[in-house]
Amino acid sequence: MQVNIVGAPDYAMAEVDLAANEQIQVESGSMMAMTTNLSLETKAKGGVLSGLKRMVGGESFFMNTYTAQGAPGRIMIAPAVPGDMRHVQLNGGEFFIQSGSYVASSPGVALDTKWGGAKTFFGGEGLFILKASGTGDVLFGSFGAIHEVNVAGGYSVDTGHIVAFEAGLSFNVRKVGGLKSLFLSGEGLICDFRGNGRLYIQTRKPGSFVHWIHGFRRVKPKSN
Amino acid sequence: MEIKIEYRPSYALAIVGLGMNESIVAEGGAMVSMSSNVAIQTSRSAAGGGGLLKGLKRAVLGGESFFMNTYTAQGGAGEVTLAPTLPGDITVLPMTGPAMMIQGTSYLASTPGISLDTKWGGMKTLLGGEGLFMLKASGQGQVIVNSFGAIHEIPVNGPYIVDSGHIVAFEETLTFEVKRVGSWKATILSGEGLVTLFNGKGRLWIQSRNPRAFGHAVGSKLPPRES
Repeated sequence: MQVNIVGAPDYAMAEVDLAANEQIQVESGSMMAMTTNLSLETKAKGGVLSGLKRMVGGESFFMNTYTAQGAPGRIMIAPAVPGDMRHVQLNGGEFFIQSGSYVASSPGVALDTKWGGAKTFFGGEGLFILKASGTGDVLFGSFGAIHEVNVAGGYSVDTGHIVAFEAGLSFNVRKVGGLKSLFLSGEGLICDFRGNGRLYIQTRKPGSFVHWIHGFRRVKPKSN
Repeated sequence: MEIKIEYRPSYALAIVGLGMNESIVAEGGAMVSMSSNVAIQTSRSAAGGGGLLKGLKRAVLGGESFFMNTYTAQGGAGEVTLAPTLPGDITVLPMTGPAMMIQGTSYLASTPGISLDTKWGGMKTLLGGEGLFMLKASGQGQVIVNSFGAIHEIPVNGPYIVDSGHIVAFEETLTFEVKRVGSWKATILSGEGLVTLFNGKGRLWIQSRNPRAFGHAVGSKLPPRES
């Protein structure tokens, strides 16, 4: 699999070249163009029950798997929101992705929403962290630019700005007054990372943007 | 203090490097990330002793968060990164001379030597529905402002007209007056609403998109909300 990210950072998309019979799993709705020899198989991966679990995690119920039939092929992939993309390769290790940021992965990468730390993140904002493990490629996207921080020791992030982080980092989520989620819950959530590893942050927060737009919706007239 | 702005102009991020015990004051929702030795102090009056009433004014009228947060690096150097809610640019305005008038939603952060005061754009402005609400920043230091879209600096010398929704900030040496364009009929039909007529000599910063216009463009297409 060859991945080339173009249009970065404002409207990034990924051009993925597949070898003959190679596969890629893509978040539902993210395929923007492809060669004619790619076949699509849609299923609730791992059965209906784990499909439901993924839906709880903010992902689509169905995962789409594209296969380059008999010859090399190309697929172009774009996330739903404006922003940047990154491509990382796993070599048997683990990698953590905020569920709304996940875009695509190769079949050798397993995605788990039920790992021990996932509960910690599920704190009122619908924030859920996927654990990716195995060997292969992972693609993810951001709202706004991606700011990479090489954490050595400790670093703290507003949870809504988390995109992804490496396995060398442990974390703890705590409440802080006066942060962006003030509007939503009266308290903001901050994630304290410890250890060493790379952290990917998005420069805009989807929840705040959506909340801002919500304020411009018309108000339903009161019925007597 | 070292302030770097990265990822300009679409999704700018302000990276503020703080020396030991150095502080920066920021709008409540602005913090993206920080080093673990940075302490957050939430206060209604952090920005120049605004007090409860001014905090309320900020919240209700200025489109700003109720709280100002002060971030302080403790026991060593640290960093705080800051971003606004909307896509767009961030710029640093060094303050050495005249006070600066900042449109409420364009204020992101300021150094502790800057005092912030709320100043009405005039009742007329508020009644006009544009909700133009200005913060007055004075003192010595730096103010960080954000724009919806790109930010554009105009050296004003004499009369100059800007749609009120496109104002980011301007030097206090400029006088300003909110007015209709043409007749009432024209105001209603032209979609131009209220404009601000500047006069005098000073710098003016405008944003290339009007947040309210965007909000209405999207919000009017969504199903109505309950309240």
